[in-house]
Amino acid sequence: MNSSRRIKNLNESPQRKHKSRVVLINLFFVLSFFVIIIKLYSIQIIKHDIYAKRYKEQSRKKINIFAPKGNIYDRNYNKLAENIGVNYAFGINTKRVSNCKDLAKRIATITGEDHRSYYKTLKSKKGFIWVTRKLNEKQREKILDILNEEESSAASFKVTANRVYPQGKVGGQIVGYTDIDGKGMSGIEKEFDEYLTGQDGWEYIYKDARQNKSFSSTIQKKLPGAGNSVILTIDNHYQAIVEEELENVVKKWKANKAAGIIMDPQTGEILAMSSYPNFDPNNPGEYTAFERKNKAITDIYEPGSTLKGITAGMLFEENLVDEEEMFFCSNEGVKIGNRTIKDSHKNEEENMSFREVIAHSSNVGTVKAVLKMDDSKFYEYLRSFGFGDKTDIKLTGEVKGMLLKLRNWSKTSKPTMSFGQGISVTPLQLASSYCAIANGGKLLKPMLVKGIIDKNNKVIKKYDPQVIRKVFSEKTTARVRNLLRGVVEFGSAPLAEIPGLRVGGKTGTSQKVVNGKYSKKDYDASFVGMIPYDNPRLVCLIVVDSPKPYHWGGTVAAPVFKNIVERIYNEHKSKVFIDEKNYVRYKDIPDLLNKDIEEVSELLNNKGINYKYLGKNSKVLYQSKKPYSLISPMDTLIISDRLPEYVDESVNLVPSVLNLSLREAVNKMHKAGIETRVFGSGNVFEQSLHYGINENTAKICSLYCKPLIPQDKLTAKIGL
Amino acid sequence: MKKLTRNIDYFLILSVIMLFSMGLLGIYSASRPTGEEGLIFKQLVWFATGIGLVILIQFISLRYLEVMSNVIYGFLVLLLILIFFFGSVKMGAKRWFNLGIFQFQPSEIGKFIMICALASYYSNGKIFWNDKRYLITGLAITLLPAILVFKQPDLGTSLVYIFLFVSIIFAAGVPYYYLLNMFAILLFVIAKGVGIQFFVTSLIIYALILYKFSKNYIKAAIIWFVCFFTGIGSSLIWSRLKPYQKMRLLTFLDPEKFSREGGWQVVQSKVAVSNGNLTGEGFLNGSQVQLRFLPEGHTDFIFSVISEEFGLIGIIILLGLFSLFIYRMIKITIETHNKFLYLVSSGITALFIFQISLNIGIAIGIMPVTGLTLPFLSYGGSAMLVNMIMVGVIISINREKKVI
Repeated sequence: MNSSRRIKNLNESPQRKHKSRVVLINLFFVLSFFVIIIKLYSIQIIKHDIYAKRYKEQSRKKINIFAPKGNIYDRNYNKLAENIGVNYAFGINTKRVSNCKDLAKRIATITGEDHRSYYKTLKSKKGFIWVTRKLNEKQREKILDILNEEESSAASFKVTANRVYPQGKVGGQIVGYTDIDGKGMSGIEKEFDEYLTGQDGWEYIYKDARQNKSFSSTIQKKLPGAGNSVILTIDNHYQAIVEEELENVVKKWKANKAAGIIMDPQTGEILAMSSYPNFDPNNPGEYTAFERKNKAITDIYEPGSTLKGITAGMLFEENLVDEEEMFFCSNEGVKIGNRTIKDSHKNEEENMSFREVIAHSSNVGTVKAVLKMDDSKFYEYLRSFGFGDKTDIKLTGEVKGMLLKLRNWSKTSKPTMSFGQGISVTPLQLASSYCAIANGGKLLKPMLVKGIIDKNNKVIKKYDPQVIRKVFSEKTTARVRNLLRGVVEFGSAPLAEIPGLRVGGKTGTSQKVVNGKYSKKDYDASFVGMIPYDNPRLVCLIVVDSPKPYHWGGTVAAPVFKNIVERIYNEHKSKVFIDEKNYVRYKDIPDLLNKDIEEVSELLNNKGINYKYLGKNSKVLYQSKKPYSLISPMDTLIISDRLPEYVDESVNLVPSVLNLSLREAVNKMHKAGIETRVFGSGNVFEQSLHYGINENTAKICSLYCKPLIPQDKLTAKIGL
Repeated sequence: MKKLTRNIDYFLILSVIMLFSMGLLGIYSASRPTGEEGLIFKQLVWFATGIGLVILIQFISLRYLEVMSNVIYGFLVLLLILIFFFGSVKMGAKRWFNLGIFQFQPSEIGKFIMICALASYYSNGKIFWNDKRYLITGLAITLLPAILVFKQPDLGTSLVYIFLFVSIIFAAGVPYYYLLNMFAILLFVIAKGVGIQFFVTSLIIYALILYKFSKNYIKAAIIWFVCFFTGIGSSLIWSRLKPYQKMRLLTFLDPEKFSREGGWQVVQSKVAVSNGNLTGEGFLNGSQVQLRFLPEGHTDFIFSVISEEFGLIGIIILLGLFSLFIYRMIKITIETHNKFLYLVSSGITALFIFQISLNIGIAIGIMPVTGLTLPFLSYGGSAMLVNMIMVGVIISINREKKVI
C-alpha cells in the first residue's frame, strides 16, 4: 500500500465525519439489549405462571398407585380374603426388541421358568405383549436391570393384586375368587366387587422429553384408598366343620356331592354354607367349574320327605288335621287317579296318628291328610315359602328351583308334592323354609353379609334381618316343631339325637330324576334339623347326592347333622346358639392361677368339675382351660404347678399345640399317638381335642391353622 | 516490527475469555443428559486453536488484508459454488465440506470475508452517494454470495450478509434518506404480512415522507411504486418459500399455535428462561435442560440454558460481558484513523451486535428461528474460529492505530 493513499485516507478520517454513525450503532446495541431485558422481564416475571404451567404439564407424569382390595371377614373377623402386597406383570413391545431369544433367556434366569415359553410368547406377536405375571418386587427390579436401554423404553410393568385366601378351601365357594387384575369372578368377590375395589391413588413424577425416563423424586402424591371390607355372617369354624363333615360323608358313602347349610333361624343369617367337592380360591384354575360352584344354591334336588314338615304346617294352619287324628296307612298304598302311592318301607302298624305319620315319614298318611286341602291353597303356601323363587341371596348362579304352575297341575301333583316329589328346590330354599318353622312363622331373607366397613373399620353399610312375610302362626310352628321332635325321638332319625340338646328334624329320601325318570338306584338323602326343637337357635340342612349302598336320609344325612352340631357344641361353645337351659350341665371354670392347691381343690370339688393335678408344689401355675370358659362334666381340667411345656408327657395327654407351626404341631400330636387332620395353613389357632387327659382316647384331632400375619387390630366394637 | 504486547486491549480479551467460560458451563450442562460431556473438550480445542489464530494475526500486517480481500472474496465465491457439488448434507442443507476431522462451513468464514470485501470497496477513494453505481456495485458484491448461501439453503446467513452490507454502507456514510428507501421495501413486506390496514397506512406515510424530502418527484414516485409492488409481490414470494422456512416465519408470528414444529423450540426455550427466575435453578439442575425438553441447548439455545440454570443474575452477567465486549470494539472503531480498518471494525462490531441480539431474541421469542449461534458461547468449530479471527483483527487494529 503506497503512502499517498494512506495520507488521503487520513485526510478524510472517518473519525470526525462518521462519529455520529458509530454512536447510532451503539444506540442500536443499547436498544436491542433494552428490548431483550423487557422481554426477559415479561417472560420471567409477568408471564412466569403461564410458562410454569406449561412446564408442569409437559414434565410431569401421572402414575397410578394401586389400591388394594378390601378384605373379606367372617363374623368373628377372621380373614377369608386379603391382599398381601402386590405382584407385577411385565410386558414389552416386541417391535423394539432386537434379540428375542436373548431376552427370553435373561428373563428366565430371573423367574426360573423355561426360557422357551418366553421366547414363544415374545415371538407370538409384533407389538405390545404381556410376557410374564406374578412377579414380586425383587424380580421386577432385577428385570429392570437386565433390560438394555432400548428394551427398557419399550417395557412396561403393571401392578396386580396378590389376593390371598388364608383359609384355603374353607368358605371358598362363598368367598369366590378374582382374576389376575383383582376383578371378582365369583362369590362375594364378584357380588361385592364395587365395595371391595379400592380407589387407586396417583403420583406425579418427572418425565423427560422422550416420555420414558423419569426421575424418582415424587412431586405430588395422592395415596390410594383401600377398598372396603365385607363382613360375612359365616362363622369360619362352623364352615370348617361343615366342609370337613361333608367331605367325610361323600367319601364314606361314595356319594356324588353333598351340600350343607347352617342358619340362625332368628335372623336368617347363614353361619355356614358349603358343598363338596369344594375348591381353593388361591388356585382357582386347578379346579373344575363343578368344584368351584356353590352347589347349595346352584343345584336343585327333590326335597322328599323333608317337605312333609311344611305340609303338616299347612294342615295345622288351616285346622284340617290334628296331631292325634288317625290315618290308615295301608301297606297297599293309596290310589290317586291311575297311580298308587306307597310308603317306602313296610309299616308294622298301619293305623297311625298324624304325629306318627310324620315321625315315620309315611307317604300314604301324608297324602290322605293333604287330600283335605285345596290345590290352590296348597300351591299358595308353597309359593309363600318362596319355592320357585330365588332367595335373592345375591350370589352368582342361584337358581329358582322348580315349582309347576297351578294350571299345569294334574290330579297327582298335590299328593306327590306333599311328600316332596315333583317339586325341586335348592338346599338354601329348604333351609330357609325350616327357619320359618323354627322362628315362629316368619320367612326371613337368607343373609350372607352382615355389613361393610371401610379401611378405618367404620361401618358404612349394615344389613339387617329382613322378614319377607309371615307364613305360619306362632302356634302352628310350635305344633310342627313338636312333630319334628317326634321324628328324632321315636321316628326315622334316631341317629340325629344328641343327648341334652333336644334335636328336632325331618329326614328326606328322594329318588333322583335321571333322564326324566325316577331312578331306582340314585337317591338324595337329606336331613334338616334344629336345636333345641322348642326354641331353635340353629337350623342345619344336609343333602347328600347318591350315597351308596344306603340311601336313607336317616342313615346317611342324620349322622352328619349330629356330628356337625356336636362338634360345634364341643369345640366352640359359640354364643350363637347357647340355650341357657341346656347349659346346666356345663360348669364355669374359675381363675385358678397362683392359687393354693388346697383352695383350688375345694373350689373345683364344690363346682363338681373333674380335675387332675400334675405336680408337687402347692401353687397352681397352669390350667388347661381358660378362666370363665365352660367345661363339660365329661371333661377333665388339668392343673399343674408347671407351664404346659414342662408337664409330664408320660400321662395319656393330648398335647397343647396352640400357636405352633403346622409341622411342629403334627409331630407333637403323632408323638402322643394322635392322628391329625389339618385345616388351613400356617400356625395352629384351634385344636379339636383340647389339651388334657385323653379320656375318650380319641385318635383324631383336627388342627385349625391360619397364616401368621399380623392381624388387623379390629376393635371389638365395630358395631356389627 | 512493532512490539507484540503493545496496546493490547485486555478488557476485550478478558470479556472473550469470560464469555467462553460461561459457554463451557452451558455446553457441559446441556450435553450431559445425552451423555456427550466430551463436547467441552472439543470446544476447548477450538478455543485454543482460536487463540493461536489471534496471536498469528498479530504477526500479519493488516495492510495485506486490504490487498488480499478481493482475492479471498473470489475464493469464497468459488467455495460456495463448489459446495453444491462436494458439500455434505446435514439436516436437509448443503453447507459443509467434510474435511474428515471437522466439518468446514465456508459461509461462516464468509461473514468476515464479506466485511473485508465491502470495506475494501467502500474505502477505495471518495464515494459519491448520488452516483447509484456505488450502491449497486456494493449490493452486487453482497448478493452474489448471499444468493449462493440462500440456495444451500441457509436463510439466516444470507440475511447476515445483507445486514453486513447495510452496516458497512451506513458506516461509510450513506445518506439516511437512501437507507430509509432501502428499508422501506422490507417494512412494506412486513406490513403486508401483518395486515392490509398496516400496509395502506405505511404507504400513505411513506408517500408523505417522499413528498417532503425528495427533490425528484418522478424518482420518488418510482420508489413508491416499487415499494407498493414489492409489498404485493411478497405474497407471491411467500408461496415460493420452503415449508420449513414458512414454518419458521409462522412460528415466529404465533409460536404457541405452531408448537411441536418450529415453535416447539421457542416455547421450550421460553419455558426454560422463565424457569430461571432470579437466581436460576442451579448448575446442572435446570429442569428443562436436564429433562431434555430444550433442544439444541449446547448450540443455538445456550442462552436459555444459562438463563434457566443461573437465572436473571446469570443473564445480567452475560449481557454485561457482551456490553463490555461491544463497548471495547466500538471504542476501537471510533479511534481508528484508517478508513478501511474503520469499516472492517464497524462491520465486525455490527456483526457481533447482530448475532448476539438475534440469538438472544430467538431464545426469548422476539425473533424468528434462523439457526444463529451465540458468539463465544455456542458449541461449534467454524463459528468459534471465525469469531476469534475477527477478535484477532480488532486487537490488531487497536495495536496499529497509534503507529499510523
